[in-house]
Amino acid sequence: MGLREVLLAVFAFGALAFALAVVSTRNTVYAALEFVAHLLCLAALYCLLDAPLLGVLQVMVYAGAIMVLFLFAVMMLDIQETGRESAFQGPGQVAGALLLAALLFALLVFGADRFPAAALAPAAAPGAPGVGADNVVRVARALFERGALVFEAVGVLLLTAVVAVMVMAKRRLEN
Amino acid sequence: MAFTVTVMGLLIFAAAVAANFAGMILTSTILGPKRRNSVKDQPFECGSLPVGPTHTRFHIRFYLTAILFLIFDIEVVFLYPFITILRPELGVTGLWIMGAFLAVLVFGLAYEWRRGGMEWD
Amino acid sequence: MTPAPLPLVPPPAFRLGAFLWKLVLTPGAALSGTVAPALRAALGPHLPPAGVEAVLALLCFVAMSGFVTVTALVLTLAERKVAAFFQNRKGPNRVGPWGLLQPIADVVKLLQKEDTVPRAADRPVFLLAPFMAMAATYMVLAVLPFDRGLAVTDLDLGVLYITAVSGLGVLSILMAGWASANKYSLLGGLRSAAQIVSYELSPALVVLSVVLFSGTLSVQGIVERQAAGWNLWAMGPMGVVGMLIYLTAGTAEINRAPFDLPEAESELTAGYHTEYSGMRFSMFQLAEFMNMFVVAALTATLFLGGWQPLGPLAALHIPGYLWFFGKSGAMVFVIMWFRWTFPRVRVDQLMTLEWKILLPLSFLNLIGVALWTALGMK
Repeated sequence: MGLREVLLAVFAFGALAFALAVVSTRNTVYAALEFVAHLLCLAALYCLLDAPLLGVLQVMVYAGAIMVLFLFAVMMLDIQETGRESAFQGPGQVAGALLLAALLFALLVFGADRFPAAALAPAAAPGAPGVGADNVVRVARALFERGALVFEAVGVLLLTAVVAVMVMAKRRLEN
Repeated sequence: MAFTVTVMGLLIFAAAVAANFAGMILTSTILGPKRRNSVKDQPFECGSLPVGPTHTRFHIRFYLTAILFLIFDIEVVFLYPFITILRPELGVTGLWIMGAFLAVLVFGLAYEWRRGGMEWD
Repeated sequence: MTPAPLPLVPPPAFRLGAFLWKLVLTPGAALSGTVAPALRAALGPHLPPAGVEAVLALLCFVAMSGFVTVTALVLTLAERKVAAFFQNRKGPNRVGPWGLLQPIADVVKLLQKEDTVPRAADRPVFLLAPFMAMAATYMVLAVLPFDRGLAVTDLDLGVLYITAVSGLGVLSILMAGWASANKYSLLGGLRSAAQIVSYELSPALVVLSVVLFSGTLSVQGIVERQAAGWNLWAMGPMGVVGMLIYLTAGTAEINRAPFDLPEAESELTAGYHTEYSGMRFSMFQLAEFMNMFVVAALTATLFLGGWQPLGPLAALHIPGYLWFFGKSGAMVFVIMWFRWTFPRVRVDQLMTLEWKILLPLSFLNLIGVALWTALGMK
């Protein structure tokens, strides 16, 4: 077992532990911070799996932007009002969660073969120098040459988000 | 392997920062006094007694700023990989693809501006 | 690149100067790019590659924390001396000659202060927040190119890494503001976070334009590409505009005057770090001062050629790290100058400046650079 495998195991375990902490913590701010830790573990996993672009973007978008939004929301709510009862309510909920997790796992295991991973796999040997820049170029090719239409659709989606935000927020302000 | 080593280097660096932090705090804990009193335990609100709950609700505009930032941040994130292959591979076609994407978002920006989303009122 | 002998023989009056100059030059040459290979060669036979890199990472950290300590001390003194200079007074002048030992006295004082935690505060989050601030700053320093081949690590995604990691600093401010159990702290933290995230956008776009122009995401690569000419003028008018946007938005992103609303003492006492004392307070101060250095250094790196010498002055063989620190120091001075020139802005002016002026301007700037490079005017 090389260094890479050890680090992968450490971060996989960390990601799982923090994810479990997120769903079992009652304090919402704690949960948000544990989620940040979980995301950082995921980012390290991506980097170790030769997808450094994804790792860095994970930190930039999720930890640096989405979690700020979450924290804003959580901090602006009255924190004392939430989290009185346990996160897990009864065996039914636990069983449901486990079933969903098993389904997702099965989906990943059987779906992994179908994903055209070769397009995104680095040209150089795994972990060779320059893998970061190569990774970016390959993602860019996939995104802008084959997926140009999807990319434009994302633009429209973002526009929808802007409009929705404005409609929701301004209606609140006017009332 | 090289990249794994880079990740490890950064991790060790981060661990060393943590150790440094712990050391500084420990030194000040040893050297500093530990005298609690009721005044020190209170939040410092300019000498007056705190009134009302601390974690009250805040104005929606903070949330609005954060969500608009998020949208534009995602846009910037798309631009990074685009920029790296614009000159060597995409050329003028690339400019059209990105032009259309940006036009849609500039429209969003204009809408937000008109609706007063940028006013801190 | 072997340094050629100085083209001019210095007149006798400058002999001493030339001698001192050599003293500076020699360790510089040893530092830049020879330490790491030498260590690798020395340790290689005894340790596995990962072990060698681990030792190097630890050494890098020791060097870096020494660097951070010295820089922070110099900056605290510089802040007060520059303030004194602008206000036509002497500044600190009691401790040591010209008050040079003042920051050390400050550290000794801060170390002896009590580390208070308000009773109502959320203890774990309160205690962790300063660490978060410090870690985000340190991790950004890990990719700053001090000289050719002289950086803790040269990531080929360096620019993205900087944007991502410096974005984590905002979490520390939210944590501190929320955990303090103080209304002013929370309001200061939220305000500060809103300001920081807003002012992350236009620098990111400006950095993008530099990346487009240089064709690389590596910070070292960006500096290398400026050998022929600094981006400030190599990018045409977009270089000047870009640098102005970067410096303005950078000043706002680190909450410095005139954008120091989160700490506006007349309305919020001290903002998110009101409740902090002693070492934990100084961690925030350390992070703030180092962030100022980072913004100055990145401005120098992205637009002023980093460690590259200025055209004809290359003949002087001034070591790259001195160029780097010289340019960064000049930018630090400019940022301090801002503080004594502009009055503090209002919150609405702050938001207008970013969303209505800097953001559209940096978009236009990026499009300008795209056209500039597409038209092959480079």
